[in-house]
Amino acid sequence: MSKQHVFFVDDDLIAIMILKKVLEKCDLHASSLSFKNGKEALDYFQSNYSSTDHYVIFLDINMPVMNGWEFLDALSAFTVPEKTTVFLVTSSVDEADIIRAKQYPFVSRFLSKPVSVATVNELKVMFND
Amino acid sequence: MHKDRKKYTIIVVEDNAGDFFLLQDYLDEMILTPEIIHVASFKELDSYLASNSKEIDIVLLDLSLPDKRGEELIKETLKIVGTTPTVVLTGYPDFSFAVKSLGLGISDYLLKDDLSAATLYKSILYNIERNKNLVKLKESEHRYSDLFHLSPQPMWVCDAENFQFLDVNLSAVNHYGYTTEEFQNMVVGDIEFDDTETDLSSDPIPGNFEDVYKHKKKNGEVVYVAIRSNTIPYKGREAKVVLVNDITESLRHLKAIEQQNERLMEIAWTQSHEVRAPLARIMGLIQLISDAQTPVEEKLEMLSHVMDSANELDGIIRKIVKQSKSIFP
Repeated sequence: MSKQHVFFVDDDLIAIMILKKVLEKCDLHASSLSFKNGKEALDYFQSNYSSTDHYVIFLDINMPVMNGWEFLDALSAFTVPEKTTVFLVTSSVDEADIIRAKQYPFVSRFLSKPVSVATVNELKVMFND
Repeated sequence: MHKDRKKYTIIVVEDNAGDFFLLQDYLDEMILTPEIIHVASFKELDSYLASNSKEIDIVLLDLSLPDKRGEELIKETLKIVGTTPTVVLTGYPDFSFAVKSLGLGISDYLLKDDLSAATLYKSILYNIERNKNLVKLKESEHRYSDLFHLSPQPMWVCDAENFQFLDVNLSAVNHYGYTTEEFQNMVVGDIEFDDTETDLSSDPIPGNFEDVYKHKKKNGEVVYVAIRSNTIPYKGREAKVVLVNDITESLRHLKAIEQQNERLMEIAWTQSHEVRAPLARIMGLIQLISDAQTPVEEKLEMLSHVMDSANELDGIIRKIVKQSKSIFP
């Protein structure tokens, strides 16, 4: 049976806390890991990657060291979109960011913060398969 | 035979009464109503022209008058008749003098002994018409010369091969600070500024400008100019006529606008990315606080996060206000 992992990648710890609470309200109690930037997440991901498992990543764009875009660029080296679902979670409402997000096959949705309970309920489907 | 019905106004400068009557006869024979103004000396001609603004078609000038004669008479007469054609009449055949007087600017040289009504009429008609064209040509030349010399933009003509300045206009003299004579002893390369001497980082040209050169004025000031040129024949050689447009000021403005744009982009980026971060946090926290199921102690903790985020937002907005002020120095 394949395992599901949930990652939060955001330098804003409060934002991660808020998102976790919203997920809980939607009865998503998956065990998760949090990373402060793309580099930390990537290092962990690369060394613990299992091709049989499924990964859900909530990814912020603007972070120090390695931002969300750079992280996405590095993903394709070892995983495929079928195994890895990325939700871009950002405070940005910049049209350019939304257009850019569409160019990445890993990105399932572009979510503007704050993510509401209603939005998460919509996404639930993508979690459990 | 039909007489010419056109109206001619003719000045006859002749001191010999017999010769004058003969001329009058000839004129009457060919022309229906010639208006003949008879003066008998250079002085009389001078005072007539000075006191009348009547348009004269042609002047018939006897070459030996009591007060002036020969070459001097021709020169002085041409000075006062302006563009009116002048035909010399003389009793003395002198071929070399005839050629010389034509060179001085008279329209025709007729020998009284050979004169007939027909030859006189033909000469009058021919020289009036030819003179009209000459006057037009001169006016046209003058107009084009004015277009060059009085152009508000600096212009010059330079040799197409060695780039020596052949002529410069007034604006070029004023703009560059060199006199016309100084220019004519220079080549175009002398006013071009050598790029390698300066630090390119302070260069206000944002690149990809075609035909933009740096020129150095006499006072050392370096300006940016857009050059347009065309090939023209000039006094028998191939030359280039060049129009100069000083764009130094425009480039400075362009640079300033680009810098302002950069700062505006920075502000737009901050608006989109930095301002919304604490705001989104506040919105998310309030969502959770307003949820009845959230425990009270968690709500209190979230409230303190709301306050922190509000302070952060305040700081960012202050930063933007400061940035905005820096756009317009």
